[in-house]
Amino acid sequence: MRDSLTVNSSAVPPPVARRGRISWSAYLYLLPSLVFMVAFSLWPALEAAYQSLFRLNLLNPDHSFIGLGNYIALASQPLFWQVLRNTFVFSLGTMPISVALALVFALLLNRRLPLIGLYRTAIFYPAVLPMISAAAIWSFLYVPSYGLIDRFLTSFGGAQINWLGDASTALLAVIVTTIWKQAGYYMIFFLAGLQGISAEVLEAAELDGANLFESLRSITLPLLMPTTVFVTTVSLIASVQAVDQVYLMTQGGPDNSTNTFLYFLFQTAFTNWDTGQAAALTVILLLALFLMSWLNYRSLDRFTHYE
Amino acid sequence: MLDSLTPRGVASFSRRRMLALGVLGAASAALAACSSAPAASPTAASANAPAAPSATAAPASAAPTTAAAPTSAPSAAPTVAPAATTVPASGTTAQLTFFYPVGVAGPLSKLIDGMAAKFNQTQNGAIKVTPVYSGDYIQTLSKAQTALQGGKPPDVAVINAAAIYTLQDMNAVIPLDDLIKSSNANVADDFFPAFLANSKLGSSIYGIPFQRSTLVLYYNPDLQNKLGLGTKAPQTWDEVVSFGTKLTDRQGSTVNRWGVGFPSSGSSYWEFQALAIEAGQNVMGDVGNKAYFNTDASITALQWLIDLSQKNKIMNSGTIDWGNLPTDFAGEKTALIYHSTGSLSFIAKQAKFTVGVAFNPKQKQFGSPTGGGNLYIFKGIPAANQEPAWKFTQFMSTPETLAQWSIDTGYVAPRKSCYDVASYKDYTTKFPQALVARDQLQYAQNELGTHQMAQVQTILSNAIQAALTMKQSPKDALTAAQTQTDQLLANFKD
Repeated sequence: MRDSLTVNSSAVPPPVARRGRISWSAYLYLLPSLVFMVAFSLWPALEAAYQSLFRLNLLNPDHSFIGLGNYIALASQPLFWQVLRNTFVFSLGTMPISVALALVFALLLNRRLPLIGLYRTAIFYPAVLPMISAAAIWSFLYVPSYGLIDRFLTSFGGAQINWLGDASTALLAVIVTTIWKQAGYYMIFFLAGLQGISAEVLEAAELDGANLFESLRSITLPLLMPTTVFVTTVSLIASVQAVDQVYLMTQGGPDNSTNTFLYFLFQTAFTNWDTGQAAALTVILLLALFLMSWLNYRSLDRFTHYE
Repeated sequence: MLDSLTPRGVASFSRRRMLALGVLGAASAALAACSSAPAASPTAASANAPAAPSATAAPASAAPTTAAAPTSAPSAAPTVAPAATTVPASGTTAQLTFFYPVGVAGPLSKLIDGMAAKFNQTQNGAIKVTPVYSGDYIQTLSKAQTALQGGKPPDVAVINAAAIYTLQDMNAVIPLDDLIKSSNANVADDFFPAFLANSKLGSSIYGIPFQRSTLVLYYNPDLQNKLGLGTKAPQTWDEVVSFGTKLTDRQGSTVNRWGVGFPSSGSSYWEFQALAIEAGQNVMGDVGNKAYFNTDASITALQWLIDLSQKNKIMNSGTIDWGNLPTDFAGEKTALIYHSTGSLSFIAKQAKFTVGVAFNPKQKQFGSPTGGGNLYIFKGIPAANQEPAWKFTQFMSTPETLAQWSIDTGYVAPRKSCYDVASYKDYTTKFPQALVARDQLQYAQNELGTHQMAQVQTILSNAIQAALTMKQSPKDALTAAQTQTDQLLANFKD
């Protein structure tokens, strides 16, 4: 019987290009994806960077070159900084909690119990809903006085709270909706990651006398790190992309307390019709995301155990 | 077990390559998927990660759908082709697209589909109109302008009457004077002046009033009677407070019924205009490059609104959702609400009591902004479509059509001759509430519609919300709004 921890040495290695010879087939295989990436990711990004250097308000025929004028105009707008603050708080609120919850759910549901499929479906189900539907459902829950949450609170003698109408609770309300929607989605990745961890390793740890927390800390989490790195990056990006729920639930209000980056970008582009500033915002977003992804991979990399 | 999942050849994936691929993958995922679900399936980054079962990747990538329209309105179905079997004389069918918003409660989308289908039938295949539900007024304006940028504007669209300066700045719509003259349409005399006021630029008419509204007060006569307040609505601001105090039903810290509901979410500038007019001065004048935000009237109005919740405690604090109020009122959770006449039919159907409609209570004077949408014909549509577009516009604005539309929705019938249409006469006899909005028209003034309309409206709405959430005093909020708007409108000549 094969010792499953040794490598299967009879596997055929893939063809490797000989030194000095270009592997045309490799590039041909990559070409379709490259075409799409250039057409739909790279070129629009460059186009946006180019447009951000012009005054491009669709209600004003003057489309002259103004260099960094759009960026300066943005930086001098207090609303821009408020939007950054809101987005930062929103990311801080959704990302760690969604990922942590997803991990907890995955750990709890990574076993073969009779109804485990039902639990997994129930937790994953919100991920299948379009965000607009989730936002509509939660809008109803948040209705003051007779919405389900307020009813629940008042039945215990609590206060009726105008969740979406109060500047101090609106962002929190949107954060909760987002966490509810996303946790199940990330749970799937963690479940997959957990199932890739060999049971022998955990058994060995148990034999050595490690308790649950020790094996979790020393074995499961490090082996799960590639997944964690991916999930945190994706959730970070998703938190910056939050716009559907803001659009439906609060329209950025009350008084811009839930105005997140992408919603502000939408307003700039399609309410104010300032395409130049919107392009500038796009470039800022791109750079920020690159930076965040890079930092994320770098910082978590030291904890990652690659096979 | 592990070896079957990670063949040797791939295991030599270096850390650096993983990093590079991960960053690229994440960044391109960010760019590519601006959708409602988190970024697309993790094929790039998880190449070496513990193998993700393909089954889970499939539902994940199938899940993201494009954001759908607000759930309250059904999506527009394409109109049915005309049932007539006769071949159109010219041989070609003029295909028209018709963008329209739904800004009030009710199944208006279905009604529009029906009207378009009826028009298509009467044209025997010569003209086919496809109605496209386009969200609320702002979304419809966005959609039409985006289509214009893309070179394919809608042929006809219902857009806010107040957008007239903005549409002209974008060179989006055509003046209708020639079409009106050539078809002898009775526009200037038959439509109410209050509605024509912002359908014109100079002396040229650009829009035909279609679904126009004003703000009205909805009240519950039976409930008021029970509490000894009589069956008439409050007539003045002071009466609103005194009525509201009696109508608020409080049990400990729980409020079972609020006395007053004044909407303040989203585009709160519109309903606020009513209060400003009542306090003496509208925020909008007759020119497109000036707005009047930090006037005494506006500051007084905003302070009164804040006091309703903070001092008098007859209204919920924070911002109140526009969309919830009709349901609140019909469900007797709020006793007095300010809302659009366009919600009348919905409220009347939902409420189990007789719904009362009244003028907005006055302070110095009665007042309301006009609201709603006009029919516009866009520039840049094929020349062959212009006559058909005008035909459709006329069909949608005959006294009979407008009367029926008013019956079905509660919007004000904008033509004087509508009130002589037999079916409408019956309707108003049975349902005199529908006449209140028309009677209030003599006190109605222009909606806030300067250049950069949407942005200026947002500035005022934000100021109102800032004051309502107690972040700024009314005076500070409105003064800041005034400064910002003056800067914005400085470049416009008129």
